[in-house]
Amino acid sequence: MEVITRNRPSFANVLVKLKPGEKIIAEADAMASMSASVEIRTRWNGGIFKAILKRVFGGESMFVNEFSSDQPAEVVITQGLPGDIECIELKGTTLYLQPGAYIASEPGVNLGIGWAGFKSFIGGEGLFRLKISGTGRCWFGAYGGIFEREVTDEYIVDTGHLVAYEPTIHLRVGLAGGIFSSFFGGEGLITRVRGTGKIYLQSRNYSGLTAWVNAHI
Amino acid sequence: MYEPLHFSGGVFSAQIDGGRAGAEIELDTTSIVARASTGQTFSIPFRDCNLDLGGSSGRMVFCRTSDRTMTIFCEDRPFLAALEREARSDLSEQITSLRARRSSERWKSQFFLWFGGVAAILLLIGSYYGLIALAKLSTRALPVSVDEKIGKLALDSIDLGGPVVRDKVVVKAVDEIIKTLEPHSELKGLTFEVRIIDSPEVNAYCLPGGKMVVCTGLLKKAKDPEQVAGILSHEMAHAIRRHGLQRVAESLGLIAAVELLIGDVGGLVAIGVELTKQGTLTSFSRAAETEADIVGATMMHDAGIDPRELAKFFELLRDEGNNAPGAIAWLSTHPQHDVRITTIRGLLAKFPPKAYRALEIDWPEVQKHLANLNAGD
Repeated sequence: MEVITRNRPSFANVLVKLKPGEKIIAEADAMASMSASVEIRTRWNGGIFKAILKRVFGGESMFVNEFSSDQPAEVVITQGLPGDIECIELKGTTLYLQPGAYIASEPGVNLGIGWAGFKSFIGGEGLFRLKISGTGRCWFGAYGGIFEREVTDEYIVDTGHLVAYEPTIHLRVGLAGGIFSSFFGGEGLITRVRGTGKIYLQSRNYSGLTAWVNAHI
Repeated sequence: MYEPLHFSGGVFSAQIDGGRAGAEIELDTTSIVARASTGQTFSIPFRDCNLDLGGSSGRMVFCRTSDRTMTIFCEDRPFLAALEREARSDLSEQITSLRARRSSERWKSQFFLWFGGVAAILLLIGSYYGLIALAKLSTRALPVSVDEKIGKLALDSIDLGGPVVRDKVVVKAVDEIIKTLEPHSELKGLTFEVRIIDSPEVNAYCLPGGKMVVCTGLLKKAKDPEQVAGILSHEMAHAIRRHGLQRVAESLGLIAAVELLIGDVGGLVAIGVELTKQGTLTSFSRAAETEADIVGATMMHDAGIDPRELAKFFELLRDEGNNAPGAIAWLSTHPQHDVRITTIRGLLAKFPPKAYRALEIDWPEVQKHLANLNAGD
C-alpha cells in the first residue's frame, strides 16, 4: 500500500493507493474522497462496549470504516482540524495518543483505550488515552504542525501540546516556575516528560484556539 | 504458583531501524533475552544489567546495559519476581531497592491522591458557600426597585385568601394610617400599598417593596385605629429593613447566586415570587421580628401615634388566646408575644416625652362598614 501525506503541515491529508485486496481502517467521517470501486465496511470500533468507551472517553467515533477494493484504487483521508498528520510504524510496539488524534491505521494495528490518570487530566491531556499497538502503520493528526522529540532524561511540554508518547515515558504535571511566574507569566502548568522514548507534540493547542474564538464572539 | 518466563515488552537499540521494537522477552539462567519483532535477538547478562522503574504506569521495568546502549523493557506484573528468582544474587540488591522505591512511590501517590481529592472537595464546598455568601452580601447594594418588582409580581401571583375590599370608608381609614406613618420611613423612595382582604383571619403581612395585605379579621379585632397603625408599622418595618430580600438571599442557589454576581437579578426575583407562593417570604426570623417591632414603634412615635397601642394589640391577642382561633395565623409567624410586649414597653421608656394624638378616623363607623361588607364592596 502506497501512502502519501500531502499539503503538510497546515491542511495535511493522506492519499492511500490501495492494491487489490488491501485494506485501510479509518475513523468514521475521515474519508474526503475515494475511487468508485472502493468498498466501505462500517464496524464497531473494537466491539460495542469498547466503542462506547472510546466515544465517551477517547474522543473517537464509535464506528470505524474499513476501505478495500478488488482493483487498484485510492482513498483520501483527512481530519477536521487544520494541522499536520503523522505516520508511525509500529513494530510490535505501543503508542499512547491523546483523545481525538487517531485518524487511520493498517489492519494489524489494534486500537484500545486506557486510563491516563489524574496527572494527565490536570495537565490538560484528558483522563483517558488511546492505546495503539501491534504491527503496521498508523496515522494521527494534530492542530498545527507535529514535531517529535527523542527524550532520554527529562523534557518539559506546555499543557495541551502533547499528542502522542511511548509507554516508556512517564508524565508528571507541575508548575512552570514559581507560583507568581507560573500564573502571571502565562505558562501555568507544564508536563514534565521523563524516561526514554519518543514524544510527538503539536505546535498549536486547542485551548489557545478556543480562547481566541471566545474573545472574538 | 507457576510464573511464566516469557513476557512481552520491547527493546531500545541503535541496531534496530527506528531505534525500538516490540519484543518477546525470555529469562534464561544467565541473561535477559529479547526477541524483537524485527527478527533480531538481544540479550543482557544479569551481572551486566542495571535495573530501573518508570514508564507511563510507573511499573515498567527497564533493564539496561552498563554502557546504556541497549535497554530491554517489560511491564508484565510477574516479570520482576521472575527476574529475582532467575538472577538470584546478581540482581537481588537492585530488585530490593526497586521494590522499596515502588512501595514508597505508591504510598506517596496514594497520599497525594487522597490529599488532592479532599482538598478539591473542600475547595468546591468552600467555593459554593463563598459564592452564596458573596451574593447575599451583594443583595444589600441592590436598588429598592428590585424589592418592588418582587413584591408586585408576588402580589399578583399568590392567592390572597379572599376578595379585595373596596369599601371606601374602610379603604380610606387604612390609607389614612399609612399616610400618617409613611413620611417617617427611614428608607426613602419606598411606596407603600395596602390590599384589604375580606377574610376572618387576624392577619397582615408585607411583601418586599412595601406591598401589604391586611385581613378584615384583624381590622375587626382592633379596638382603635392606633392598634391597626401598630400592626401596619410593624409590617412596614419589614419592608423598610428589606427582610424579604434577605430571606430571598438566604434561599439563593448556585446559579441564581452567579447570575446575581454578574448583575442579573432575574433569578433573585423568580426565587422571591416562588417563596411567596410557598408562604415562606412572610415569615421571618426572631431577630427580624424584634427589629420590625423596634422600627415600627419608633415610626409610630415619630408620627405622633402612641406606640403602646402596638403592645396593647399583642396583649389583646395574648389574652384571648385560644378563644380567638383566627389570631393564630398572625401569631404563628410572630412568636413569644410576652417578650415582644416587654421589648416594646422597654423601648418606650427610652423615647423622649411626647404628646401623642389620636388618629382622626371614625373607628365605630369603620367597624360598622366592616360588619356589613357585601361581596364586591
